[in-house]
Amino acid sequence: MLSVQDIHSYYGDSHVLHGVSLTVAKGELVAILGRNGMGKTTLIRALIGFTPPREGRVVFKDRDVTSLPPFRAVEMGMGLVPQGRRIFPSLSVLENLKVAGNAKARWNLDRVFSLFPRLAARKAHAGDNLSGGEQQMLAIGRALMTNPDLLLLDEPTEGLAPMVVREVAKTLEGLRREGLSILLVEQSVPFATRIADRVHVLSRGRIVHSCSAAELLANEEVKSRHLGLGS
Amino acid sequence: MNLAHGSYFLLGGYVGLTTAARTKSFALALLSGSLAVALIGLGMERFFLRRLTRQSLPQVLLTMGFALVFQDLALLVWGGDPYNIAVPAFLAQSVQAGPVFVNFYRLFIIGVAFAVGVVLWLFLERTRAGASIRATVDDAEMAQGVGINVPLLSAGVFALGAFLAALGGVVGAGFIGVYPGLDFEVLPYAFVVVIIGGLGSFHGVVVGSLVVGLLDNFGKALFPELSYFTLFAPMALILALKPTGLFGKR
Ligand SMILES: Nc1ncnc2c1ncn2[C@@H]1O[C@H](COP(=O)(O)OP(=O)(O)OP(=O)(O)O)[C@@H](O)[C@H]1O
Ligand SMILES: [Mg+2]
Repeated sequence: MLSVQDIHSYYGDSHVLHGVSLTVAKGELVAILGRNGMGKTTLIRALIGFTPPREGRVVFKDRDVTSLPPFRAVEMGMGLVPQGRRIFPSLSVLENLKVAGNAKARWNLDRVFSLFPRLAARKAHAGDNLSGGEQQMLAIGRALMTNPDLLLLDEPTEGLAPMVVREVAKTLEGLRREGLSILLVEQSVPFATRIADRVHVLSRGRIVHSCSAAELLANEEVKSRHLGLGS
Repeated sequence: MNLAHGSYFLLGGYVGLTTAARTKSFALALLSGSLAVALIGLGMERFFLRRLTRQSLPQVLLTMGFALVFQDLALLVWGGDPYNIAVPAFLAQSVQAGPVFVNFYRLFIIGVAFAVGVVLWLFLERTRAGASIRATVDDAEMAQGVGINVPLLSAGVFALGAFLAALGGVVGAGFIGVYPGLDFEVLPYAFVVVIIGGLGSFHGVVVGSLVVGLLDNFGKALFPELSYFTLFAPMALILALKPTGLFGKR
């Protein structure tokens, strides 16, 4: 589905990603874990094309998408749930979903609303007039409206209450059962290890550890050194 | 930021003028003037301005260059004399209503402005394309991130802007005429409207243009010696109190 090959990303002269490689197979849920400022968002930005990597390749569905404009990557089936949700504030909930929809609708408004009934009740509300949890659901719903085969999620649990976090986890597990591939970026180890098949640990722009979710939970050394957890 | 917007107004007027002279049709003048200039706008966006996204200063310099080129080209083609477009006879009349004379063409201008405003509002607020435009104004990067073809949309909006400026130019050519220097005469009005109303706000443009129109006309009538002052002083005041304009968010 997705193959990232030795990418290097920069902001101006500052070198942020130092040769990151990873793959996501069809139907797989892969998590990238890392603390603040380690380059997680930069990686997502490189994949969708907001900040194309200066070196290396991004191959999606067997096509090189490294320097494709972001809207083309979305057309090809990358769905983005960005950090901070980035709901369009001037648009209503309904419009936020509609602008993302396209003609060949596998996902449509009805399906999104049955997945998130709370959004249906707030259809006419302005996009910025929602609780954090509702905004996160809208951001996920909006990405689904683009009919993705691969969903990119950047810290979807940031700032959410534990109950809402559980709801997001259930939603992602459900989507994954339907065959969607998911690349999740997270700081929360419990959340990521609960739903992911494999995890990569990102530190200062490099992947420093890769293993299964269960193995990470057992690995105190990696957790304390790179994720600031543990004894 | 497009300093060639006044040139669109001017070129629209001139193209309309030529069409009206050839075909004797005011409707064709409106159509040809607006469409020709929309194409010019499309070309400018596609081949020049697209490279300068989010770079205000280069945009200002480039569009200023275009404005000067258009000014000289217009002088070359249409000469230095002022012209008026012949408007249809039924619009050229006036009626007396009590103590005031009502000029039909003025009513026509108000009607066109109103219709353009309503259609634009419906387009922006009620259609999917309009919602995509608002999404792009909110967050252009994220708009691409949900699959909106932002480069195409921007080109379309730019061409629409040129179209409407030129439409104004043709309509205006039946009233104030069209003459060298008109481009840089109308440009400040457009800027003051946007500054007062606030960037990126439709309501702002409506309120801004009413404020500017009233201030300018009453100002010129009541204090003719102050001319531009009655326009720019309130603008400076609004900027001091609310730097984003009345309805602007940024
Ligand atoms: N627009 C930018 N310009 C310059 N440097 C940036 C920019 N965005 C991020 N950086 C720097 O790049 C590094 C990686 O940032 P990034 O946003 O990818 O981290 P992150 O892992 O997503 O962090 P967080 O968990 O806080 O979201 C940081 O050192 C950050 O300061
Ligand atoms: Mg981040």
